[in-house]
Amino acid sequence: MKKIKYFIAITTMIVVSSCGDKYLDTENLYGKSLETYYSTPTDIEEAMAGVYNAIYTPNVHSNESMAASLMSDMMLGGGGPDDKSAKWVDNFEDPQEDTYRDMWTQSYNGISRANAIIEKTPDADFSPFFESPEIAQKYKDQVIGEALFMRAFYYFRLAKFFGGVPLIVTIDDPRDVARASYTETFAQIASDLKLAIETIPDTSFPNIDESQFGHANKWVAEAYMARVFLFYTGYMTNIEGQSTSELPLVDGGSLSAANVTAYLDDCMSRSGYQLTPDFRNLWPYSYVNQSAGANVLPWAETEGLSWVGQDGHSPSFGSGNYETMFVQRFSFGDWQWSNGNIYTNRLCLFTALRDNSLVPFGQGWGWGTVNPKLWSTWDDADPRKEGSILEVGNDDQGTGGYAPDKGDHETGFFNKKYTAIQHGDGTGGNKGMFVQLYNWGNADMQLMHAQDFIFMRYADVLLMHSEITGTATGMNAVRERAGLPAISYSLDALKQERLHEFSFEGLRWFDIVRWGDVNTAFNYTLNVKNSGTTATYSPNYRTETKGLVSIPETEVRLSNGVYEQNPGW
Amino acid sequence: MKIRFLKGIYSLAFFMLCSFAHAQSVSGTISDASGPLPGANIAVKGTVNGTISNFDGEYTLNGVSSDAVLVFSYVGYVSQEVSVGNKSLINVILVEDANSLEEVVVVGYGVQKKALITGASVNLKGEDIAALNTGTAMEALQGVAAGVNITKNSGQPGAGTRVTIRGLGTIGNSNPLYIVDGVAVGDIDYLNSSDIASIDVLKDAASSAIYGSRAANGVVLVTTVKGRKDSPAKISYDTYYGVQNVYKNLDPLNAQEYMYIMDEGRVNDGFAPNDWQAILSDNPWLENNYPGLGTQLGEEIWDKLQNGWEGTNWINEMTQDNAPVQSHAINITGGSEDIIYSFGASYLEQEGMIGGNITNAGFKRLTTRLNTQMVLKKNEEHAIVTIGENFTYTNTENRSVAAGNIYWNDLHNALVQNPLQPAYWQQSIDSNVNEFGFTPTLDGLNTGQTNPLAVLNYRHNYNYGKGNKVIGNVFLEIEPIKDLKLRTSYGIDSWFGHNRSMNPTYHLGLLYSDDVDGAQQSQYLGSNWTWSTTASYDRELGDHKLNVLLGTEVLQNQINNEVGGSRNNLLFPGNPKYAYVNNTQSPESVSDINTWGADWAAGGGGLVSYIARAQYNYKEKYLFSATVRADGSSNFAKGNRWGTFPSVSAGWIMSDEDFMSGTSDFLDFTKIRASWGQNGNQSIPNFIYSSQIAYVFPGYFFGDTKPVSGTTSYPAKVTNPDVTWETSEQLNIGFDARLFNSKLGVTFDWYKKTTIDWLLEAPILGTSGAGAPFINGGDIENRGIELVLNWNENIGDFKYGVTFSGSHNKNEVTRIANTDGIIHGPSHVLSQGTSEVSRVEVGQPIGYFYGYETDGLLQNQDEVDAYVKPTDGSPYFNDLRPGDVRFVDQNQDGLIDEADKVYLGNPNPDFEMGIQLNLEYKGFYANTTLAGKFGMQVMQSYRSFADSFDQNYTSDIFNRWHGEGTSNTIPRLSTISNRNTQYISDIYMHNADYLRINNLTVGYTFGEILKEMNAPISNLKVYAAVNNLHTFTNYDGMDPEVRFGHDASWASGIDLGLYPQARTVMFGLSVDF
Repeated sequence: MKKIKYFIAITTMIVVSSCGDKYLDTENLYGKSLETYYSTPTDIEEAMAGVYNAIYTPNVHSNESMAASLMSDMMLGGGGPDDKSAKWVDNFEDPQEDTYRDMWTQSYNGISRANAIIEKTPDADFSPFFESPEIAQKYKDQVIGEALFMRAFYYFRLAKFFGGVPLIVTIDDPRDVARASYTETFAQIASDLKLAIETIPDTSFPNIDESQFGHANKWVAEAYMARVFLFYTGYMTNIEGQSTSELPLVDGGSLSAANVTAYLDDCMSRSGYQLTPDFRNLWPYSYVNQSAGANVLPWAETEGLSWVGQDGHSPSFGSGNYETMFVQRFSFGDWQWSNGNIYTNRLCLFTALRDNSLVPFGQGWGWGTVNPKLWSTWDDADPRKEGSILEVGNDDQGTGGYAPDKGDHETGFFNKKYTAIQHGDGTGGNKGMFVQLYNWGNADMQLMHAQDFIFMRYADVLLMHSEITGTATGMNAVRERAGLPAISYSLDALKQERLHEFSFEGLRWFDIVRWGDVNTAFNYTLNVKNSGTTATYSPNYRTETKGLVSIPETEVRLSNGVYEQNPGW
Repeated sequence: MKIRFLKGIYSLAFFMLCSFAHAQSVSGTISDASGPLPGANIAVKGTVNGTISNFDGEYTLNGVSSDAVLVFSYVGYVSQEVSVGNKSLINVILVEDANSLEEVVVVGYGVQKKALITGASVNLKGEDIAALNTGTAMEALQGVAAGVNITKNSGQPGAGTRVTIRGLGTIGNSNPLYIVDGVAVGDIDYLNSSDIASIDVLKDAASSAIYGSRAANGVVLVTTVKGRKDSPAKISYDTYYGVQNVYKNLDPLNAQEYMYIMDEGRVNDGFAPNDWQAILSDNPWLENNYPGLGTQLGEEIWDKLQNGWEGTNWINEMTQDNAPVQSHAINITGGSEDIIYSFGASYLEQEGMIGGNITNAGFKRLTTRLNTQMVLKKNEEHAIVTIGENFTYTNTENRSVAAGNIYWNDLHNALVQNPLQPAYWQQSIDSNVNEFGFTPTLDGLNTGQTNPLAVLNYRHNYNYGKGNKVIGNVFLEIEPIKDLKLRTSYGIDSWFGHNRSMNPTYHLGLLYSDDVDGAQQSQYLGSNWTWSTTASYDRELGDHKLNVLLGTEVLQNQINNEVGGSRNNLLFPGNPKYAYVNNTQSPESVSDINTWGADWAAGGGGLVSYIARAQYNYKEKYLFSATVRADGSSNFAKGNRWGTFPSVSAGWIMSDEDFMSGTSDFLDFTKIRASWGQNGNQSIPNFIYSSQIAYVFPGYFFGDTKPVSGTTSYPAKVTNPDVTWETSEQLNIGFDARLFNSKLGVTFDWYKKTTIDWLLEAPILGTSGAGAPFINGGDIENRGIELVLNWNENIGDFKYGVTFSGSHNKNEVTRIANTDGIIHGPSHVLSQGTSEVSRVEVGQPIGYFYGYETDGLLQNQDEVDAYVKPTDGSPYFNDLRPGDVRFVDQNQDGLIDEADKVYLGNPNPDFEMGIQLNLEYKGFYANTTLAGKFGMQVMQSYRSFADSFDQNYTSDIFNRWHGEGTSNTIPRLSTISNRNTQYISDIYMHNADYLRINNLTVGYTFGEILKEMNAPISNLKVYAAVNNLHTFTNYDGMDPEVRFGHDASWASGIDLGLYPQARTVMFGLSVDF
């Protein structure tokens, strides 16, 4: 028994001596904690960048510009024989389930991040970080308004593709709610934009510091309000058959055409944005001769093109861009990074020449080949024609050495606004123009497209103004810039103007949907070549889909059937 | 020992006095396989006369009559009886008793007599493992340990194994817990088989519950070789040399076959056949960059083809015949009365069959080990203070080639590369296209088809790195009073190493060029420590025996440092000797420089545990054991950190009962066992419970700072502070029996293992707005039976043994806590653009194959016409033709869509078996081990059927459909993507049952002869062995054992062209001094 006592005494000592929890406490040295986040302007800067980061989608089909381009009537599927998915999207077939899931989840990621800023910023005390409480308040107004805009931006992205979607507008909102109606969703978008316009300080664009380029501002919110108004009223009237002239608000009110026109008038009179004198100087091909130090694009030399750049009014390269209002910013990619190819503009890669690596137009995957109808019906006198469409087999365009028969849906025309641009690097090889401009170390042709994608430019403000007011002033300003004579307003004239001004900018698809033209836009047959074999091309738009894509199947299953699938899918 | 020895001398003297007059004196030496055996018993049968062998194994026994029989015995050895006759010298070699019930086996924090074990475990001896000459010890367990599924990750040297004990219980980390001499380690591949004394695999929950939180996947206990008390130094040297060859190679099409098959695809689609001459000569990239060469290359190839050249067999170009493997191991063991020691040093060098002669691919491992133990204080009965250490140092160099998915697999590259491109081209060197003469891309054929040898070379040749491990422990054992043992042990698991690589420049095609060179260097260093303290006490009260153990254990992450950096633009381009970061030009842009550094253990973290165990038996007949372990893990939030894992087990040795006496003439031993217990799993990353703000890189780009992004962060995951232990619960019922004088052994087990609160990242609704959290969100059930039969018999000098083991396991996921009930596998696995192949889903086994069921091919137009929708009688597809696949419309809704996808197969075997045969006759011996797995399937695709139509085929394509009745499995050829191959269906699936002769060894032991020659060598053994001698299978791929599962660790059975298994022929030698 003595031994047993001995045993118990010793073991008790052992147990007591190893004082448990001190070995279990850990400190997180490689991340911040949610509890203390959103408390300083630095946190907010980082979190706001996080909101914008949700614009990127790993799956290329979830990229707004790519999806809208493939579905539009002015671009075909293209690509190689193995690029089935591009052709499926182009032909309104569901390529595979979950094609657009990244768009869905990334939009909600952006929305949740914006919700946190909207809720947490008002409570934070930023006065120690600024000279005066007024400046601190102005800073808060900017970030809250900007977060509201970005939330509207993401809901608008969702609504354009999917229709009504679940509305999550606070941190603690339940996530398993059903899809809101189309009208409820747009009411949320309109209300957020309205509050953003009312909240963001009204600093004109030239007075906004260059370091803020890429952030949304009051004028961008005003322009988006017009876009949302036109889309909603058009969709309800022409697709749903419910004639609608007002944009609803969450509180039960609504915005009329006159309200929206007032926003546009405000934007036109006070924003400081203006048209770039030469339309073609918006696009990077206008800089390639300067970058190369040689006349690699004879046409640009003849036309005296000179790029305005893409970092705002005081860009690193180019003369200053006062037209571009809101963009998806792109840089270079790296395969070593997680999803390392999403930071480069894949529209440039995917719609560039297939299996042809020319100077200055480099190689891409040949998706979204251009409908030849656009080329043949477009007046040669309009400089935007050659400024938008890349014609192959033309020495003046640097495409004389184009070798055909490399891809499908080949029409001989490619996207010139967003494409691969390259020239010699002085050692006998070719490298991407942006790689050389920014002296980037990785010259991979898939990762070299540091061209921003323009969501909104001032020309759209002018054309939307014309369309909402039914007046020709804005439209004629755009025509004047293109060297075209003034005309009187008609919807048909405006439609044509938008087609020519914004081709391949991801707007056409949504325009034909809201005008209701989508139901007839695809009644055509083209002769194309599929990897050298002549074939006919005729897309099969299904009116029952009402211009919407499918809700990701996995989301429908995860919702336990709470989400109703869109018609036709 | 000294006491017993003295007693022996006294008694010897006593007998000398008493019985001198009647009889003779007998003397001799007693030894075992490894040398003299001190302390063995020698007794005259039927008398009290006896003695004990001395330090040198020698004995002398007086007063033995000539008709007496001497009995030589030693615990753990088979006793031998020898008639004295007129012999005065009797030397005996005792043989260890494999079926000994007296033998002790390692259990957690102690040892136990094998007969008294109440759980389910497997015990293997180091020498049996070493005899199989496998690169790693775990490979040797294949087919040897029932219920332990061993799959080689690939045939690549140093690739390691996947070990699954009693079925997959998680889709996370399913590795068992490895404990070497009490120290938890990640795996045991750092040990040479010669370092291992024994491996004990604890399979049931009750056996492993003493390891609590980390034991849900089972426990592998390894004991390294220890010295032996009172024995002179035994020096042994083991070596083998072998050559490896690809066991079974695939047969890609040659140039003529390739062109024929490509053309057939085009003709099937209504296109004209290819103009091969034009295609070969149209190489715009080459022509543009090296004017004239593009055409010249094509014309040279065309000329060669006209002269009967059959093209390049890329697999042959990439593989090396007779890749050597060699191993050397020295072991020194011994001990004095108070000190025992064991020293080991070994070296393994294995060249790779693939890339071995291009990039010097291969695996090298050097290990050294020193185990010592010394008694510092003792009294007459027992040692009081003992200290010791066990340390192993390992240095490895692994130069590997890519063996992963279709984008990272050198063998797959070789399989799919067109045979028209020569491997090397002199003009390539002469015109400065490529210094090694690799032929540039034939981009007229396909810009994406880069020379696979160039890819192998540039991807792997310029990486240099070595890894080191120091693993071991020091311990102190105090026995202040008899049978009360206090033991404390401090162990470390540490690693360090360095890597260096050169990023070369090359230009071989439009899509295979790199202009920017650079150098990268990195170093890492890490260590975890474990401090265990236990107190155990044995108490005997009459027929009652009780053993109690209490203890604590703390494991801490001490350091896990990694730093590195890279810079572009080498000062000495193309020369890897100078490829150091300092030898680069000053960076011109931010992308020219990259650095990183973190100590992942700096924030702390670890485990704290309390252990208790009680073992009780009555007359060694009724056995009970109970354990409980409480673990705290820093991976969970405060409040959820602690988990308690209890277990109970019981055994009944029925054969000791009186009522069994009727069977005792054939039934030597019967034990019935039952156990129940719980184990935990905590293997999730730290801080998962709190919402982490994650920094992303790149983030977003504001202002004119491109290409540098601003700092960007967001909440990484939805918060789940409630996440806690995953628990695995297992019920085990079994019995052990020995029959016919222990010639026949039978072990049977039935188990049911349920994993509850399974830790997983289940997909969540996109509206959640952040990544999916880890949740305790699922249940899995594994049920199975295991049977081991062994037979050992000696017929005169002829000894033989047979062991058969078989196991069956059924795996089923019973709950996933989201409404989808599915965890999806990756897409783009078999081809770019194809959907998922593997899934985890409720009601199915983990990683089952998912896709369309097919009903053969449409053989003719009548069958095409008959393949119509049940709904309206119209065809399922508008473009159906004979030779197309007939997909099954499961729900008969007239659509072949997602709803028609079903379970196709299971990569996990239903049944596994192993057979071992051992024969021995007068020094000659032969051993063989067979392992088989049955009832599993493999998804096979050696090319991207659904896209990339220029990729080569294997000669299997000759079995394609090309007319009615020619095939019912391989659809017609095509040059465009079509659903026949785009849809994942059972046309890709194959049964992969196999039985493999893992090892056959034939050898000779010179034991007796050496003794007679009085050689300084105590033992000499020579042998020849073949590993992977033959595989009996109907599977037509390289190997039916397919670990690869793409990006999902839980998936397996996806054969995209594996690193093939070697057949290795070896010659070996063992010598003891």
